[in-house]
Amino acid sequence: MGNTRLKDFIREIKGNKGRFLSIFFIVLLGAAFFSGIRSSGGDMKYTADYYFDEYDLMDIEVMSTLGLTDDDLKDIENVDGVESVCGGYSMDVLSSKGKEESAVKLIGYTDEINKFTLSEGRLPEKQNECLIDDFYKDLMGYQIGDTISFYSGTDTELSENLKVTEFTIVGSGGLPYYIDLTRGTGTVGDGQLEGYICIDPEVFDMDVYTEIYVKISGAKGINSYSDQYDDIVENVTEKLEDLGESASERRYNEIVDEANEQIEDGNQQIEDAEKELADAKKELDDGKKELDDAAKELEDGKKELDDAAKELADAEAEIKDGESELANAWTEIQENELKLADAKAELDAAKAEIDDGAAQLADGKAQIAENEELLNQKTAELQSGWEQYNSGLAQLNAAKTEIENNKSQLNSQLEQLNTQKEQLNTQKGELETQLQAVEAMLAADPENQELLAYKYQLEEGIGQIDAGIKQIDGYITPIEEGLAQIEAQMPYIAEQEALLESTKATLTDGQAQIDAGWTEIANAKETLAANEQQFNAGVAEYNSGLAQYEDGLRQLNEGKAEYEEGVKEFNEGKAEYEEGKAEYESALEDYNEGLKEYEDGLKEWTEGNDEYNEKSVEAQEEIEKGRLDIKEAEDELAKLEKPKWHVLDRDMMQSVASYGSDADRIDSLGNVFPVLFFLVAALVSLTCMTRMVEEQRQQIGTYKALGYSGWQIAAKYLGYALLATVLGAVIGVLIGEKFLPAVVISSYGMLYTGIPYYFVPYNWTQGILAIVLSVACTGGATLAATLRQLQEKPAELMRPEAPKVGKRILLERVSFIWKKLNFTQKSTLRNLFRYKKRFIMTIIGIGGCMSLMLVGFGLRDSITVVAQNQFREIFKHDAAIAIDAEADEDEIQTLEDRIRNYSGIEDYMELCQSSVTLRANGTDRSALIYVPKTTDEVFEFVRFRDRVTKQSYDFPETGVTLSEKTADMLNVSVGDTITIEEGDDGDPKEVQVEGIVENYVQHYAFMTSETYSRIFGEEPEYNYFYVKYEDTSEDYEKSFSAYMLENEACAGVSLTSDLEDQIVDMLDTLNLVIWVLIIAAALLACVVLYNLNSINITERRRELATLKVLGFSNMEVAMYIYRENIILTLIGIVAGAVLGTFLHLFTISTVEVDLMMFGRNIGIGSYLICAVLTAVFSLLVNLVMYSHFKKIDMVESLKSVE
Amino acid sequence: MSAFVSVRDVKKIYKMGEISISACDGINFEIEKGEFAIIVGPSGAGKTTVLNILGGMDTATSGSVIVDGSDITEYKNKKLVEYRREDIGFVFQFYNLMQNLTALENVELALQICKNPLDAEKVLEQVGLGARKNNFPAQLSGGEQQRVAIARALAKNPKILLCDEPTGALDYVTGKSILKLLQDTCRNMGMTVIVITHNTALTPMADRVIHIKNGRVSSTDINKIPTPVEQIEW
Repeated sequence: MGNTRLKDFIREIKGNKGRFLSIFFIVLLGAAFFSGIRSSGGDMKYTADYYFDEYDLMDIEVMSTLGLTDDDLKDIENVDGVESVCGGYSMDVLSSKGKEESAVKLIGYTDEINKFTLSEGRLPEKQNECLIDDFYKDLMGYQIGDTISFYSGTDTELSENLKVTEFTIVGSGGLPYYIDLTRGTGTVGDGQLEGYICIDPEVFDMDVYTEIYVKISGAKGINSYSDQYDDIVENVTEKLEDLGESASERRYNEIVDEANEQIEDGNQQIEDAEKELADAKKELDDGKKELDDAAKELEDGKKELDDAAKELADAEAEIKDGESELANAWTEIQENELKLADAKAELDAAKAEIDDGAAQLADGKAQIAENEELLNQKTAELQSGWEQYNSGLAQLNAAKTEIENNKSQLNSQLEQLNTQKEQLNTQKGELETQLQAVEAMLAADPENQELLAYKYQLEEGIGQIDAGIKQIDGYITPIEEGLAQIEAQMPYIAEQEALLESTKATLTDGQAQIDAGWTEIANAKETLAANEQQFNAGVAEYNSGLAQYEDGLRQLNEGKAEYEEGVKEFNEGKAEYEEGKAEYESALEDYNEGLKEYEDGLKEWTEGNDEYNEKSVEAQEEIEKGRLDIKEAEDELAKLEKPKWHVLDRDMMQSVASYGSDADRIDSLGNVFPVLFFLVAALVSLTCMTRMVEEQRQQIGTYKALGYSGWQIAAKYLGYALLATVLGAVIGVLIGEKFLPAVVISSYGMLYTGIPYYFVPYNWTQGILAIVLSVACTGGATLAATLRQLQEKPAELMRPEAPKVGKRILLERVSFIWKKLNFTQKSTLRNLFRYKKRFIMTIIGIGGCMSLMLVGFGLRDSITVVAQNQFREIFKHDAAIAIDAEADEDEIQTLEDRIRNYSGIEDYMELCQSSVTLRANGTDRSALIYVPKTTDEVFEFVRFRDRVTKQSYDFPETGVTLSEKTADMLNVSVGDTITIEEGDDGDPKEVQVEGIVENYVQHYAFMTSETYSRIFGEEPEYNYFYVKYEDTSEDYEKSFSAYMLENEACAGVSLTSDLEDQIVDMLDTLNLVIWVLIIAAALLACVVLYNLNSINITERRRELATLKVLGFSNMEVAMYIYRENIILTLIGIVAGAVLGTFLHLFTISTVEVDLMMFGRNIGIGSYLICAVLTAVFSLLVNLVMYSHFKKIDMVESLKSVE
Repeated sequence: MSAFVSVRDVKKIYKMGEISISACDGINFEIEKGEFAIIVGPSGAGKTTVLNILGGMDTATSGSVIVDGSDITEYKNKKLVEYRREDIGFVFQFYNLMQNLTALENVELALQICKNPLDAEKVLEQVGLGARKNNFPAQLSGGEQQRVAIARALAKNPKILLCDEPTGALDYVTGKSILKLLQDTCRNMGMTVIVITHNTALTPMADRVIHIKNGRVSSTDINKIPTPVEQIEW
């Protein structure tokens, strides 16, 4: 490309960014989807293969119906192509946590093959440590460090095959052949394994391996989902199967030989035992006879002894009598001796008493005499006292009288003197009065001599009187002194008086005492007399006692002598007896010994006999049993089938295979969705490039006229288109291959939790394919558009292309409709059909958008409908109560009563549900059988109807009714015959299909209990109660479950609401897918609509400009186009709805898992949402386009048609 | 009293980056109501700019354009749309008919948006196309198409009929008949018709001829007695 043309090319891109981006984006979208979805399956497989390699998943597992020996192991190892082998053990057991019983597989872990992915904890180091499956751990709520114990659930004790039955969980994780959530079917419990536990293989106490794991050389490097891998493995598988034939033969012979040997041994043992029994019997009989003889001899001896014994007894009795007599006599003597001693003592005491009494009497008399003397003395003393007293009294009285006399004398003298004195005082008074009168007159007449004289006389008289007085006073004083003296004597006299008085009292008292003393003495005398009398009587008594005693003593001595003689006599007799007795006793001892010997012998014999009797019955039984066992063994041996080897490759490992088929499903999706995008991408590029080429018609003509070749011209457009395409495709691949597989795998991740990681490597094949296809599409489209132009002559090219001719459309012929349309409608319709390419493109774009979203929302509906239909309309029970397999009838009855009486229970039904394998037309499915105890009320719990017609069906009478998907997968219809077998290797039984009913989850075969009994030859074991109740609130369900679980017979309660929740969770992950689809759809719609609209506007620029000139406002001009777009959008939505419905159906049937049937219909709501969203996308694009309308220059209308 | 159409000192300067190009450099003219006016000038003289401004398709940089008493240079977008819709009938050089609509429908298209439209069929008959009203543009000759375009413009019952080189794409005879139609329309309906052309030969038929040169009006002639179209030769 020349420099100038390169410039032209670059400017072309710059000038037409919109077009370039349109192609870029649509190709990006297409390539991303194409490579992304198509890589997803491969990425899934790659991830799984990587995981299998990392954890060394076995390539082949060999199992045999009779176990595998070390020889087998060696043989397998020697097979060409086998890299390594490892013998393994596994076993189905039961475990309970709380009330919940579950069946698990115990697997011995191996280091080289099938390594355990540890997600938590550590690997076991001891025999009682184990690893737990993550899924089971979460299911049952175990923690690292918990202990878990197992039991067999069959007649065989687990300890026969396992050294340890209780383990500590030390780690959790998974094994590489359990990558999904199913754990397969087992041989215990309800047949459904819930998980697996890995333990030390040493713990298994088994003779043979249960399986052998095989790794094939060269297989590790190859993706295990590839054909190459299959070839390598198949090669080895065939060899192993051949080996299996011979190994089986060998194993069979080994078992048969061993069994025969054992049977022979058994027979020999029985013979030996019988002989032993006979010997014992004979020995016993001999012993019996010997014993009988001994018995007779003993009897004779016994009789003799008895006689002797009697004699001895008599003698003994006599001795006894004598002895007792002597004893009595001795006792009497002793008694008498004692009595005498007593008497003697008594007498001695009496004597002492008498002596005592005499002394006392003498004392008494002496005392009395003494007292009498003392009294007499006292009386004399008293007499003299009285005399003294009386003389004292007389003296005192005389003194007293004298004093009285003196006193009264003195008093009378004093009275006389006092009277004289008074007389003198009175005379003196008169004289003084006269003197005073004289003095007074003298005062008046001092010289009156008479008077003086008189006065003198008077004074003299007075003087005389005074001397008289003075004399008297001299007399008075001694008297008064005498008186005082007398007065002083008076107290002394009183004192004397008192003294006398007290003396008198003392004397009186002494008199009284003396009197009392006398009385006392008299009394004493009387008493003494009495005592004396008594004493005398006592003395007499004593004397008679003494005589008596002495008499007694003599008698006693006589008795004693007599006794001595008796004793002597007795001793002689006794010695004689002793001799006889000793003789007898030795004889008796001899006898006893003999007897004991006999008894021992008898005992021994009896024991022997008992033992024999007992043992012989036992032995007989045992022998009988042994014979039976041998018979059974022989029968069994006769029936023993040759063992068969099962050589399972990875395709036969359920989760590995289902993962592969899920990946394949994604691949098949990859064949459809990307096509849609590629189709659109091709169409978009085609329109873009066609338009571009048309626009540049004149340029092309010019180039051509200048002499450029067709290819040179085309190269520009091709380059333009391819640049956009390659850029878009490469970026699309880069984004798509990372993003889409991640979305897909994480959606599937919820089903395959076993794989701990995922890889989304670039898948160059798909990437390059996407790029090549994109290039082919756009390149082809561009080339087609360019070549068409290039074919024209330059001259023609220089001229503008004739505008598209207006035409009548078909609808105009239907005039009754056409006439009713208004002008705008008519013109819109005509315009629509005028640009057919645009018409189709828009519809494809809008329709694609609509259908993509519809697939997303439809998926949601399809899964939602599972929850709704399955758990509300088809299965109508609210809870399923599992019955413990070991519960007896009473316990079940109690459980039933509990259910019946629980408040709020509407109805309940007992049924049997267990795993079976259904086969028909060469395929098999594991399914659940659903056998109600009675069919009266079964339709209260399950609805039988056709999914499409909703027609109801009856419960099957003699055959089975299958769930829809089951029937589809087995490819059977009503009236066909299928086989049914218990577990996966029971006896297949034939049964007719009587009906096919709507069902979404699990495979079911419904039948009556009669049918069950007829098919399997035994009554069904009812292991579930289905319960319905009104109140489905969480509280009610919780308390209901808890109450039921309290019961022994209840092994678990599963609530329908929990199952519904699980599906709701699944829907949440689907949201991611829906978002991806919505975004892809939106991108698709936007790119297509934008592109088409801009082409439309460009193409009709003149027309639109003219409208503007005519006075149309911007909005009116836009509406002119919008009306067309609205109609196209509506048509696109309808077309998309149709396309989406089919695409959804395809998607559903592709992504559906085996165990589920998704709903086939899309809800009205989803149609509406998708329609609205599509309309919104379209509207958004149209709104964006509005600015383009505004930009249209009216001047365009003036230009000539180019 | 001012004229029906009065263009005063209209200037139009296009800015192309740093360069300013003056398309109109102060144009002045007046046209009376009912006149048949021809604006004539060589290519690039600025007549198309005048047409754009008069037709409400473009705005003047300065000056004023008064149509029936209103200054349309003052008009904003919305008013301009109304002006185009109600006051102006536009006839394009290349007819600009909707290819997808019949003759009648093309006329009706214009009427969709008018307040006082004329009857479409009558107008079509008036322009002599009564018989071909249901034909698509592609089925009509150039002259016929231009007649439809004129009918479309007339049916709106505008104040002014603006014609941009109406005969530019037509042959001589047809062109003449179209001009006749325009002249008749002017005479019979009293319509103010403004024809823009580079063809000076047409000028005698107009009531008023405005010569434009280099963005200015070089002269304005008024024909007291316009020549009938039939007598004009070019």
